[in-house]
Amino acid sequence: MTPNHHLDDATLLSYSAGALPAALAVVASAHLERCAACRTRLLDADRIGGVLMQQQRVDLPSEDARAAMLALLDVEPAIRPPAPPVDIVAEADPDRLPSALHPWFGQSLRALRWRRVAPGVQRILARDISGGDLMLLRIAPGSKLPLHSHRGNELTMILDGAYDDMLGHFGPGDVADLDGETNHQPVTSPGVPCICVAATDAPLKFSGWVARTLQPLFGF
Amino acid sequence: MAMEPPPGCIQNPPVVVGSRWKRTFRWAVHAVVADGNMRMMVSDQAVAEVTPLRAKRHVSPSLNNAAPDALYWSAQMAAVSVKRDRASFMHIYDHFAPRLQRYLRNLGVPESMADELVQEALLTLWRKAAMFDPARASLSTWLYRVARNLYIDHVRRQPHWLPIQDGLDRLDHAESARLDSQPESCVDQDILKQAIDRLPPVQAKLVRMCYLESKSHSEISAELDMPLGSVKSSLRRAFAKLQGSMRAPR
Repeated sequence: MTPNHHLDDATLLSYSAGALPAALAVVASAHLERCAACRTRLLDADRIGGVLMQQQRVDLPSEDARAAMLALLDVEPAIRPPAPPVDIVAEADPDRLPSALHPWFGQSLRALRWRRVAPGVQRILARDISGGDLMLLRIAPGSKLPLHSHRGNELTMILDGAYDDMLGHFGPGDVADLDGETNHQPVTSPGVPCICVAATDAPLKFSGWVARTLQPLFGF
Repeated sequence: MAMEPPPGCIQNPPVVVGSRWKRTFRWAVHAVVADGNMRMMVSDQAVAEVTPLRAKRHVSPSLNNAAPDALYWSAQMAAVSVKRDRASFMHIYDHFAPRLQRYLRNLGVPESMADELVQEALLTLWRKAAMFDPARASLSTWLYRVARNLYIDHVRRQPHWLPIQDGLDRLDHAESARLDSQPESCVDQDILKQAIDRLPPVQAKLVRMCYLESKSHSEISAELDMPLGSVKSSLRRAFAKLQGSMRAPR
């Protein structure tokens, strides 16, 4: 399946520069794993980095540094190209989470242990991630989330199920790459729960007093 | 489409002289002899010869699309990969090690750690030379990725970054092996370089803060007192321009 909603250009540049906050980078990696089109765009971004790196004015390395490098070659064997990445290619298995999520949530969608945080909403928070929040969300089919906007950046990737908002229909593999200018109200599709991984680099803010009441429940 | 080189552009390699299959490369080679080691350096100043290449693109996309320096580096990489040639390795080292060092120092990496990471990056090249695919990325792009990944692993301490990038690399590797023809893959670096130089000042500044200082959008926004949305839209516009230059018919 080919995703229809992709990483924002500004997000890709930041990812390429190694400047994307860690939590957002996990979700971006998960999408890149499923999206050849974004990997091609990332290569473009990396080319910019390569040119900027190469453009810098420098001196020749010292003889000491050269000798040290040559000495290191003596103890290094060459590595043959590894076998094709079985772990990543096997994406046909719907139970398997993207590899980028394994360190935080394990490998299996079915094995996840959800915690209810609001009616129809379950969540798993990633522990010990620096630079933002990372969480899995499981939202009951046919639910309407409170209207909300974002103070910082938020990156959400659908893993299962789907939702619709003013930006369109989001299904498995799609990412919603949002910032403070977006005020949206996702409605999950009927049938199966919508499971997504979301990362933020700042807390979300909800509008309206009902939503403000809900916010502590979400714990965003 | 046939194109005549405009007068005066002879100093700017490469020059398209015929159909898209025929390109003229201006090969800039500067030889430095030091301590008995012949060091080949590619420089913009010393132009040695002009070599027309007439290979069919689907046979050898790298030769046709590569800038002269990318072509030179891929030949050095082939010698490292196939013959384990140390002289070729040291040509690569002499050119790239100081640039990687400067890149890492600019990111705020302490000098001794930057030295170690540069060695690690070049050792990675020595080990994985067979993984280098000149049709997909030039050597500067490849080494940039390696150094950036080491920076994120060692300095930003994101412990899962390296295995994930390895996985993405292998995915791309498997993919390009599967495809008969390459996409417009190896981009002329001179054209990209010129496009970077032509960026409006604000966009150029943001691109540099992003890549050369590794600042997040929020950090750039705070430092320049510029709304987050403007930071992102300027970066988007810059990327669109640079991508346009990479994709432009030449």
